[in-house]
Amino acid sequence: MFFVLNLTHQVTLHPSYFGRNMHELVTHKLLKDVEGTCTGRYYIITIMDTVNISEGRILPGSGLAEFNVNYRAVVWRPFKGETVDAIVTSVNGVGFFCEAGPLSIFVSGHMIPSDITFDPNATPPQWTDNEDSVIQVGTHVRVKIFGTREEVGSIYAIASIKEDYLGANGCILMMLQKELARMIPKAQACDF
Amino acid sequence: MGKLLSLGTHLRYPITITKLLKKNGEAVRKETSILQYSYTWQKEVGDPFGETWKEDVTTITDWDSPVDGKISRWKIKEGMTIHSSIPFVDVEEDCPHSVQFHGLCGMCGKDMTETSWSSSTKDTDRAKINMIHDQTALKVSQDEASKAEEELQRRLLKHRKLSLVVDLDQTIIHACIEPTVGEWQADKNSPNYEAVKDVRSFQLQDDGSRGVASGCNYYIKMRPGLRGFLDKIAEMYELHVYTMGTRAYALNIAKIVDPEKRLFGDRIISRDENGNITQKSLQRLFPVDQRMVVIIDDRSDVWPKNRSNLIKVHPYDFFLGIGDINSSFLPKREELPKLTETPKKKLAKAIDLELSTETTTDETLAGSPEAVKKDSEGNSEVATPVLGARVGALEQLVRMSGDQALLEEQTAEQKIFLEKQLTDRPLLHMQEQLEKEEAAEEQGAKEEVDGVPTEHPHPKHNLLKDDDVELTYLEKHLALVHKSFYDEYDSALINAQGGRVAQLKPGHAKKVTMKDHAADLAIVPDVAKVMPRIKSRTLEGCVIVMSGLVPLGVDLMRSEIALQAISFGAILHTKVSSKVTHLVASTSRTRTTKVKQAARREKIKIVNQQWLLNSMSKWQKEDEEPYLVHVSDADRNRGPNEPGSSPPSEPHDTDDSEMDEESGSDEETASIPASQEEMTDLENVMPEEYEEGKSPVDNLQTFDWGGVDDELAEFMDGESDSDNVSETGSETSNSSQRSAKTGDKRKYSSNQDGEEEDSDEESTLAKKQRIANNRTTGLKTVKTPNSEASSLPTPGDTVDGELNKSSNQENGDDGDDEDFDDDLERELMEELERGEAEEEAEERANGEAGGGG
Repeated sequence: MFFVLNLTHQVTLHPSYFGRNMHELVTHKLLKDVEGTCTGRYYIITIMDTVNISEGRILPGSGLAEFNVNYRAVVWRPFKGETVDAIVTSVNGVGFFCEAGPLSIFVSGHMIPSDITFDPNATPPQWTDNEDSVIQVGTHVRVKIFGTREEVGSIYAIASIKEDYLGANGCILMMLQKELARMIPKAQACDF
Repeated sequence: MGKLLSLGTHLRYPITITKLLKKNGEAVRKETSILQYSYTWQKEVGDPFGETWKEDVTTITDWDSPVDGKISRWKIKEGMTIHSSIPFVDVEEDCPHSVQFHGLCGMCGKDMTETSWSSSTKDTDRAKINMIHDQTALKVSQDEASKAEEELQRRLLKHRKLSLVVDLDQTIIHACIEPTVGEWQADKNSPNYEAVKDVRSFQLQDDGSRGVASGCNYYIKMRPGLRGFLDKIAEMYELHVYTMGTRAYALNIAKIVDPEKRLFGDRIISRDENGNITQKSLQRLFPVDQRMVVIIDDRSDVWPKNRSNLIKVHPYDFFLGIGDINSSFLPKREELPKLTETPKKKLAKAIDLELSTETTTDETLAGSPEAVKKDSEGNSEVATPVLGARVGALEQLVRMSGDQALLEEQTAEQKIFLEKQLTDRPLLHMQEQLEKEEAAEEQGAKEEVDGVPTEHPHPKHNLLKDDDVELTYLEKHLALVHKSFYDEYDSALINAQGGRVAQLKPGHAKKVTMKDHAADLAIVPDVAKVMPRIKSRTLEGCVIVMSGLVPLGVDLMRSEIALQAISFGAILHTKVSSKVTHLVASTSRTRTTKVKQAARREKIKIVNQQWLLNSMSKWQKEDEEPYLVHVSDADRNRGPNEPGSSPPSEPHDTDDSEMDEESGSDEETASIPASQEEMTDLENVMPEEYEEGKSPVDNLQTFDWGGVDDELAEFMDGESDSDNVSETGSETSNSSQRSAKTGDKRKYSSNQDGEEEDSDEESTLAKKQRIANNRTTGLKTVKTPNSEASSLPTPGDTVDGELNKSSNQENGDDGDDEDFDDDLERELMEELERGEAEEEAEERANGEAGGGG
């Protein structure tokens, strides 16, 4: 789930950068330091703006200036039970790996519907039900996160496609189409 | 998923079960109580007056479930007394946690790293096997692994395939980062254009920091016929890539070798996922069962556990002198002495050495490139394998302690190695030198009539040649292994499926009825048995003695070549005897004692090492004729220890440890038990002499034995004295911290000098001594102190002995150098001290001045 958070970060600046455009530099350094990182609880997706940059304080000993920066950022924290779209990165007999943005997710064979089986002879190897659902490297899948584990600087997740409307994207569209057709007769013409 | 829970050893036995809190079939949650028990213990109680005594107390405690699940069956009853930790309840678990990803259960999504008071084992321990090619974080349990493997085997059997693990570097490709290759590729006039025109290249972007080497081009030469080979093989085998390169490197190579991902698919494992930086292991990919796996690799030492599954491939060395760019982490390759050397090869070796010394001998040499250059030039005549083996052993020793620092060091080494290639351009130098040499050769060719037969079939002076044929043999071998495997499988299948034999044998019948699928896997033959059986037919009946192939100090039976020869069915002997059929001699050393001994037996075929190598590469005993070593008539007729047999004087003979033996006197005076091999040789010499009818023992009938004793004793004293002197001498001169190598060299040479002085009287003495050794009585007692007192018995020293020639050559320079260094050091120290003293004085003066002011 995405959040907008007010966060603070301490930026240190080398004395050689002291000057007129210091605030610009501090903002720049903040972006470089923080954007796209993972705190272990959430990913900082993007920084919207800086709310306040404190006065610089020279650190004794090193001469670096330290700024406390308040900023607003969009963060993403994966939750158990959340459904995310992901791209498959690797497929093997135990399951498959996919990535939802920065998050690496594993979907084990036990979390895949039993009609979808692993076909190691296909090139590339894939999980398939021998119909329209094919999961191979590069496939877009929709998965439901089943468990997450947070460590310093990284998050891991386990997901499942063993529910309705989960799995390879082509397959989901088909299902939606069928569902729609059931609810609104003559909606087949509906173009997705 | 039933799981038996045990009470655990931490309880105070005996305990009495007071109550079962859950019934059969009831669900239990982790950390909830399922059982109450009581135990009695002694409590120390006291009254206000300070008296204490012990009282028996009975306590009732709960037992908490370590797992989620459902109780399927209690194995205990209320009121029972239990004396030790026994399994007491069968719980059907909700989730066996058999697939885990980064500590998360892949089946239920729970965090496996959590521990609580109720569980005695970690949940992460339930899935420990890492069997996925491109992942290290994904682990599975033993059950899951065997299930997956069973599936794999069944699939392979269905398609009549086997698994083949393929190494990359020097097995199917050869890689280098030498920029010269790119230049040759661009230049159509280059003599090497033909050879390098189909070399592919790529850059590694995401490959960590490699200093200068980052962003450089990797040039990949595929082994001739690779495409066709892989296509054919892929029909019989499922291919896996297993390389010691990084993942990015492996993927790039796979892209070149197999652009459509048809052959390897995603079955690529690299150093990054291997989990061990010095060894490869089939268990990493096939944790349970390796019966259907064949390996092709150019190195067998990296597969210590899976030798019998391995087909060793002759290393593909296209870019001469480059070697394996990813081998910095591996122990050094055991090399054989090169075949008769054309100038080109010698050149390659020299540069190879230059590179290898740079990377292996670190402290003293790596610092100063000039030192390296000088060293390698000096050593280019000296055997590379000796150096390599020694350093390799050392490295291995160090590696056993296995620490992070070493790893970093090796990474740095690899970096240096790569940078070296980039900046030094060994190939360019070689080509230039080759052209120069050939020009000189042409001039000199007219004068040269019957000199060394150095032929140059390449008219365009090209350095790189594209003439490797190994893959054609390899294809045949793989097909053969595949065929034999399935032949055996088929016959077993017929037997198992109610053939007549099966009916007669109750054991077989039982297996089949057990379970259909389990049965057909049980009869699957083992490649590790099938393949060695085929291989061992190759040299069956050959009794081989090797001469000059394995460096001294290395145990013959553990050397690479010996292990291989044995795996091909040859019987290896260390000494020449009537049983021996072949003597494999190094081409550069055709006059060793063994050769001479063998030469006098018509039956023994004396061949060069290429015979052995080709036979092993073709899995077929080669005709010996083209490989026969020319043995001079003199050697055929004369006894081996005849005084006056002149030592050979070819320049590259210096690595010959056995040379000393030939000149007889030297070796035996020092009576160096150089290795087992040499000792047995000495003993073996004797019967030969009897046969020839000129046994020196005849003279002994009129021999003064007392005199010998005295003389010997005298000699022993004298020698040990002189040795002590020489050793202490060398030690003192070694005081400035030079590399151990130089030190050893010098030590040896000074010994030599000592020996030479006495050699006159000793040569006769040695002979007497030898004779004495051979007698069964009396003088045995002399022998023992002799071998003990001989002052150079350590193998290390004798290995260094092989360097003796070069050390003699270099000795002068070296000594000067060292003296110079010593002087310099002393001067510097003096300077420093003086400086310090002055400073101190100054300070003192200042202080006084300040005090005064």
